[in-house]
Order: sequence, then C-alpha cells, then structure tokens
Amino acid sequence: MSVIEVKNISKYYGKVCALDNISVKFESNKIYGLLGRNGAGKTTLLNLITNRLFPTEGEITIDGDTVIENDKAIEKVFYMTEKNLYDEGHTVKEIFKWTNEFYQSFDLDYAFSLCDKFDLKPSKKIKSLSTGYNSISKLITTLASNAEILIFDEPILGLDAYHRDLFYKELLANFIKKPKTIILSTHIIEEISDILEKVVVINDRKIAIDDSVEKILGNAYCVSGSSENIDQFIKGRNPVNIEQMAAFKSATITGQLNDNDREAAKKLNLQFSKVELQKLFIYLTKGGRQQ
Amino acid sequence: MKWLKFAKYQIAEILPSVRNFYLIFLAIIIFITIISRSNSNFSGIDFASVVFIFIAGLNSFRSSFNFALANNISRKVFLKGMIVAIFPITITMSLIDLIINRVSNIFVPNPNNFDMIYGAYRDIDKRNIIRSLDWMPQNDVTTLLGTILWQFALYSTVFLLGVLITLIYYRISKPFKILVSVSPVILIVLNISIKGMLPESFGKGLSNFAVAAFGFETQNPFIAVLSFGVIGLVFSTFIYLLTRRAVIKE
Repeated sequence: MSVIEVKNISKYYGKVCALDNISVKFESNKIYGLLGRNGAGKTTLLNLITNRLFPTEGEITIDGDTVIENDKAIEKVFYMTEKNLYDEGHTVKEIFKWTNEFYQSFDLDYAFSLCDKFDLKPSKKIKSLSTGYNSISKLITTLASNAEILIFDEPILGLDAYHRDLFYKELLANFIKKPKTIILSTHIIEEISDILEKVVVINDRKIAIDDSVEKILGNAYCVSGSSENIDQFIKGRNPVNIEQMAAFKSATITGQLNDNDREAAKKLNLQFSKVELQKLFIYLTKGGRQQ
Repeated sequence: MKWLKFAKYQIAEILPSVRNFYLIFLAIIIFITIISRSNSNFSGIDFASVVFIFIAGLNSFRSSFNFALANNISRKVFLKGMIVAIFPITITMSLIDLIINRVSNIFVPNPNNFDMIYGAYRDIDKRNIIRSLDWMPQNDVTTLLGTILWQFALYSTVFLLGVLITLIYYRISKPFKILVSVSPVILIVLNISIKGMLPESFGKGLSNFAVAAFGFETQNPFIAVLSFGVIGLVFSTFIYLLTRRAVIKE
C-alpha cells in the first residue's frame, strides 16, 4: 500500500486561488509525472500532500489516514523540495545521519555508494555545494530514505546531462529493487517520459489530465502534409496544434486514430507520426491562465 | 518516540553554541579574576548566560522548523521535541554557572544574581566596599539547590520567550511586523508612558504582585521557580498556538 487520495482540495492564499477543487488518486507502486506550467499549483499540491501547507477545503489521505498533523501518514513520504530546508552549516554526512534517525529504513551504505557514483564528497558542507551538487545531495537523501512514497520537486535542477542520466538510472534501479510510489514534478518532460507510468497534468488550477502515458500518447497523433490537404483533414477533428512551414502543415490531433482516418490520410497523401509527451503537454496547457 | 529524537537533534544543534559561549565566558572570568586586585569585586556576571539563552531561543525556531518539515515531522512532534530539548540545556548551564561562580569566588568575591536577590549579599551595605569584600558565598544545600533550580527556571523561561518572539515575527504579516518593531520608538517619541495611562493603584498592585510572585520580599526563590514555571507554561501555550498552523516561509 501507499495510496495518496486527494479529495476536493482547494487552496487559497488570501483571495488568490492556487488549486480549485481538485481530486486525484496516486496509486501505489507507480511512477507518476506531475506536470504543469509555472504557477499551475504543482508545488502547492505536493506541499499539501506532505502537511507543509493546510488546505482551504477538502481532504488528503495516505492509505486512508489524513495527512494533517498525522505522523503515521506523513512518515511514509520523503519529499525532496527545490528549496533547501537543511541548515547550510551541516555536512552531507550529517544530513544522512539525521535523516537516518527519522526514517527507519534509511540505507546509509546505499547513500554513501550513491555519493561515490555522483562524485559527491559527504564531508562537504551544504553551503559549499554548487546548485547541481545541492540537488544531488537531496536526491541521494531521498532515494536512500527508502520511504514508501518518494516525491521529487524539480529533482534535476542544475544537474548536467551525465548526472541527469545517472539519476534516472538510479531511480529506476531503486524502483525495481523495491517498488514504491514515486511522483516526479519537473519541467524537463521529454527526459522522464520513458520512465513515467502515469501523468497528472495541472492546468489552470485544476487537474487537466490524469491518465497513463500510454493512453495519453495513444490518444493523440501528428499528421503532416500540404497545407490544403491538412486543412481538409482536420475538419470535424480535434486539432490541438497546427504548425505551418511554407506550403506544408503539421497538425497534432487528439482522439483515437481509426481506419477511416488512415484511409482519408492516404487519399490526401498525408503522413502520420507519434506525438512527444512534452509537445503534447505544451499544446494542451498553452491556454492555461498564469498566476 | 520521534519527539525524543527531535529533542536530540535540537540539543545537538544548540550544544556547539553553548560550548563556544562558555569558552568565551571562562576566558572573561579568568581575565577579570587575574586583573582584580585584592580589594575589588564584581557581581552578576552570570547575567551573560541569560542573554545567551535568550539569543539561543531567538535563533532556534526557523532552522529547526524547516528541518522538522524536511523530515515530515508533524508540528506537534516538533514542538514537543523543541520544548523538551530546552531543559537538559538549561539545567546543565545552571550547574556550570554555579560551579564557575563558586570556584571563582575562591579568588575574588563575585556574587551571582541569585546571591544578590535571595542571599545574604542583599543585606550588605553596598556603599561600604570593605563590608562587600567580607561577603562569603553560602554553600548550604538549600542555597545551592535554590540557585540551580532558580537559574534553571529563569533560563528555561527566557529561552521560551526568545522562541515566542521569533514565532510572533514569523507568523505576523509584514505591516504588523513594522508596527510591532516601531511601536516602542513611537511610544518614546510621543512620550507616552503606559504607566501614566493606567491608574496608580494598578501599577502599585502589579508591583506588589511581582514582588510576591518572585519571592523578593520573603527571599524565597522557590516561589520564583513556581512563577517561572507558570510563565513558561503560558509562553509554551502561545508557542503551540502559533506553531500549529505555521508553514515554511520562502
């Protein structure tokens, strides 16, 4: 178990609405991508799940227990935040030591082995770390916590391509070794799309999409060809984006691709291609209001 | 027992500052003792501990609160751990202060605050330096126990006051922060005396109450310990009320 249920949650900061009556369920042992544009309410939702903020309305439970001031529920989660919450005078080793006190399953050996892999010296103080290594120290602490639910908010902030790749590999290895609920909130969608099972998109303070990556991508396709033929093809269909290059057009359409579509495209000499998750996310959220 | 683990963390956080404080404090005491001539004395230097513990209280909320939330510790566990952590620190400081004081008294007479309020030193004519130098610290069990308990209660209450002040500033909005910060200045500038605004009998009654509550008249430190306990409880209640809905600030 380790199921997070968000029921009719609204969050207001004074008169400003950050989340508007949202409901979503994060099932156990799945890797989720929590996506949304800046100010969409992703971090607010994560802070509400981990009892760092209080909702204006609604309830959040973990395995049926409310998260508000409930240690039994919130100790199942380790939440890596973009903001550094540790005393910057501490060394990485000291952070491990204290996290080990509060997370019974914390694996010190694993933490130190990850330090070796990421070239992070555990004796270094947090304040002396670069942005990238600061993220790495938090990533390692989160992975080694062995909590039932791991939440990463912008985990790859400042990481170079090598370290990003290493993180994805270690995250998968960790998940395979001991399946758990993982929520990744990031803007670098394309890099994580391969490891995600499900995606929750927040747009305009509401849940816009809550589905498996497979279904989302299976429910959209890209078609390209001459402008005239594309205009003819998209009639009666649901295009979410159209791009024009000289006499050619490319349209992204949501909906299942059926035999009639294929037949029509063949007659019009159009080409089909798959849609990338990141591009689909951009098209689907471009109408979202900004805070 | 998560709160106990958090108390352990809190103690570990404050200990280096306590160690540094006593290193400096000892150096000053030794220096004063060396430079003091045979016909001189000093007093109340342990007030430095009160100032230190107040500053420690002021500084101990934000980083500990962030750490607690980083480890998904509930506010109630954080609060319990933080308050419990105060007592081992303040009782240790009280003991250290008494030991330092009594050892340094071998070389130079230097009554501590307790001696000056509740001990025989209060009855000495301070204008007569020779009589002052004749003062000898009382080392009977009641005095020593009274000193330890009184200092412990005072330090604990002052620490809680520090935490409470920080929390008030942490929770209130920016306009209120400005208002709270400038209000003493405004009062001075406008020459408004709170005492003057209240009836004379009120001020007198309050003064009599304080004298009785802290055992000044009767020279009973245990009444003061009890009063500090009540004040500490009131401070803790306010700290609880302010912490229960506190959130991390950017």
